[in-house]
Amino acid sequence: MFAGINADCKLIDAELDTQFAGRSSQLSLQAKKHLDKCERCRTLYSYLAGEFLADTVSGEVEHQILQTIHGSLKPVSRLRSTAAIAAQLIIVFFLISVAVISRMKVVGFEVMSLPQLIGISTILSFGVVLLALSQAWQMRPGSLRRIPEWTSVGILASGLLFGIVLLFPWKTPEAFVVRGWRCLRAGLVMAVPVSLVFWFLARRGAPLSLRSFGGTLGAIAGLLAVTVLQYTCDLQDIGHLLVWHGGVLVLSTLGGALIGDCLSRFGARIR
Amino acid sequence: MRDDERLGEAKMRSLMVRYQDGDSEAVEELVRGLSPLLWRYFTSSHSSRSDTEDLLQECWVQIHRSRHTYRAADPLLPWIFAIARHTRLDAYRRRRRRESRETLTATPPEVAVRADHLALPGQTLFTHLLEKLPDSQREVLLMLKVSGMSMEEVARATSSTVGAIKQKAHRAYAKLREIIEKEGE
Repeated sequence: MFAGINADCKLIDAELDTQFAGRSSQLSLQAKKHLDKCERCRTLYSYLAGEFLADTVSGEVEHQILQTIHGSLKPVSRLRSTAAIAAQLIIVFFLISVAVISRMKVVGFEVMSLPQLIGISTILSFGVVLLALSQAWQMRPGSLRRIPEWTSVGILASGLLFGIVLLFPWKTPEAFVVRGWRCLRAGLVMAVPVSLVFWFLARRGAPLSLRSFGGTLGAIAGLLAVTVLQYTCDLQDIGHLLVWHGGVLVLSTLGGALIGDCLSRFGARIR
Repeated sequence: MRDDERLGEAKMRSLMVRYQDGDSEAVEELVRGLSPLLWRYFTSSHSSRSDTEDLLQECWVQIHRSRHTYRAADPLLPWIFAIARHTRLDAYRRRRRRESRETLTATPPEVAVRADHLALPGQTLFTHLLEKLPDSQREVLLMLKVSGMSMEEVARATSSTVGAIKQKAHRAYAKLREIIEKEGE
């Protein structure tokens, strides 16, 4: 019968944490006393703190690895820092947005009130910073990710959802589907070439999950399209913004993730 | 012991930078220094020696392709093990896809694979216990124990957070205690 874990057993867990953190390899007196009494902890500790035995790599395998590497060994230019990559993505996002918006009628600016303008601009800016950082973290294996990639997309989607609900009014739908479809189509048409630009910027990275990398890339492109629509569309009511503008973000994120997933499956097949 | 490993890590970082600059001697030293760690990591999760050899070679190909993404300011082991983990997961997915496409025509050679696994010299009871843990917990314990990485480094290698790694490690300790107790009865 399993007796459960008491406070002294948890002390052994803490000792193991300390040893794995490389801070100390010495057991405290209290922990030693507990190990003398508790056979289960003693066994666990001996397994985890003892030496890990395994057979060794054969010289032939090492030789084959070295042969493969030497065949294509040449100096490489290093990927920029995470901050520099994120900054580059943010600047390109800003430049493309301004360029596209300046070529269109900025009706959205005129329709929105000052609080709406400030509120939604803050959410969009926060979103692009979050996604750019997420993209930059994914480009380098072993990066310390403060926020997991899908959480970043989730935070952005929730921020937009709450921001729109809090800032904009409900209005009787005016040609809801016809006008909305036009915005959705325009947004998606915009997101496709933009995603190619961001893929070009991120192509030197080594993402380990193409699905989440594609999803984040699609989300950035979708967010850019949402930004342009926000400042150029005259229908600023909750229903239209959530369904049709939000739809651009959702579809481009899913599209990116799907393409990433297909690429990884295709890559796996050709290997 | 662990201080020596940390010093080793500093040396490995400088070797990695030289590898990025195309230094063949650095590559050799790096492959000889890191392959045993990677081998132990792959050995513990794969049944046959030839599978492990394939994984190790595939992992080095991935490291070679991604070498430009390493930054000297960052710890090397999380970068290496992030790639190793991806290689292992990728191989696992490929194997599952292949198995799902294949039609079962005879009894799977379970006994033969098992015998091959047990035939590996140096395999300990610890490895046997690890096999009974859920994948995510096993992976965390393996990285902590086999590679000597800290919790933060394991968090980097698994694209996770330190809190999540600590939680998985503690759940693994509890599960292992349970297994030890049951097997002792």
